[in-house]
Amino acid sequence: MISAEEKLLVNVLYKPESEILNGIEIYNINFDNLMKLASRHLMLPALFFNINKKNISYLFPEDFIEYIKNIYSINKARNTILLKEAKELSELLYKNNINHIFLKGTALLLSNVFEDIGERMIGDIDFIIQHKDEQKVEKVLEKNNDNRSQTINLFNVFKPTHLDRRLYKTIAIEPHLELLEPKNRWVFNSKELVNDFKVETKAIKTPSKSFLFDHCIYAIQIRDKGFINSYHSHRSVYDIYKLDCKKSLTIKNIKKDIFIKHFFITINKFKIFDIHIKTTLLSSYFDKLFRFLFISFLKIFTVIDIYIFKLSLIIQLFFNNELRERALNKISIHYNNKTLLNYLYTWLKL
Amino acid sequence: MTMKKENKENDEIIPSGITRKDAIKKMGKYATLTAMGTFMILNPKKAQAQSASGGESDDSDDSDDSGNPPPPTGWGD
Repeated sequence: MISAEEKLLVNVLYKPESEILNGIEIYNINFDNLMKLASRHLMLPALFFNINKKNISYLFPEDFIEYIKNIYSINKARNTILLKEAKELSELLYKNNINHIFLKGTALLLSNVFEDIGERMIGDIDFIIQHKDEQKVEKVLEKNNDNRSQTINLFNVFKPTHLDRRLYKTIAIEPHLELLEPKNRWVFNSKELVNDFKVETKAIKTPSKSFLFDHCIYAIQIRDKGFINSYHSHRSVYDIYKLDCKKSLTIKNIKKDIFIKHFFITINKFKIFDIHIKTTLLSSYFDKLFRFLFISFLKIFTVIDIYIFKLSLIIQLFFNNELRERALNKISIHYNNKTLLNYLYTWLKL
Repeated sequence: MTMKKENKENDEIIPSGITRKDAIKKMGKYATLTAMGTFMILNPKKAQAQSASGGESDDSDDSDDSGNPPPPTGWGD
């Protein structure tokens, strides 16, 4: 069941002016609930932009418009800074011969997917580098402006998804090594970008639209667990709509991939895309079975991952002085009262 | 004494025609309904400084008498 507020949000974002009130009684709209919904989905700037574009501000209370206009203006100012810093960062990385490709929101903005740079809310600048450049990037960023909190370098069995998030001038950056967490890399990984990395250029690089389309859907379906709990994010739906990937948006392509199919089935109720996915008894049985196996695999992998991490941590206590020092500090707070900790403290100190 | 001063400040009418008290009330209502994620992304300390110069001038230049918000700058480019 879609609430009247969500229906209005969808109509404002995707329908032409003449169809915005289709099936909606504007007097039944609770604007407080609309504010909660749109802000939860990070859609306030896009809402204001579309209200303005379609000249429908008369449908909303004045103070509501005034408020979302302020949010839009602040967001646009922030995105202007973000783009400037992304370009500076790209120059710095190329100067040090580090090949990189921007991802997610920053890539969408740089690819001019949106009509206005104030529409999309972006948390940080995401970019991916090749595994071989990991140390180089750490050094370059440390030399220039490294504001990350003190962390200990630990050995990881699996490559981390990204290096530590840190502040570059005013906006946070996240240098990725991979696209998804280790347990999900069998579905989607950085091999998809091999050809993009091969392109010799010193200009700002963003992935193709079809890659951005896939990455957006896999992130919401796998990382944000949309595939498990049928969660939808209006920000992701808006990204997909704006990407306008006609090649990827065919029933044949959608049916080929169960995650993409599930994304479109979840948002089918909003009737945003002109796609009608028919499900047969056999296909829905197959989907349920796949979902069960997928969830089971994730659970098993998570447990294995935790134990591997704990084991590697214990082994590293013998070789990593920094880690041992931190462990000792933590133990020293409690060791007076607890015999086992007291024993561990004395043992590690030796 | 302090109470009086506060009341005076709150009742002060700013150029847009509403009192400061009203302005705080209006912003407060929707600000309390806005999800934390939105504020966390906007990082007000840094973004406000940038928008204050551009945003305010937009208000005075582009607002029409009907109270409709001005078009976003750059729209139609």
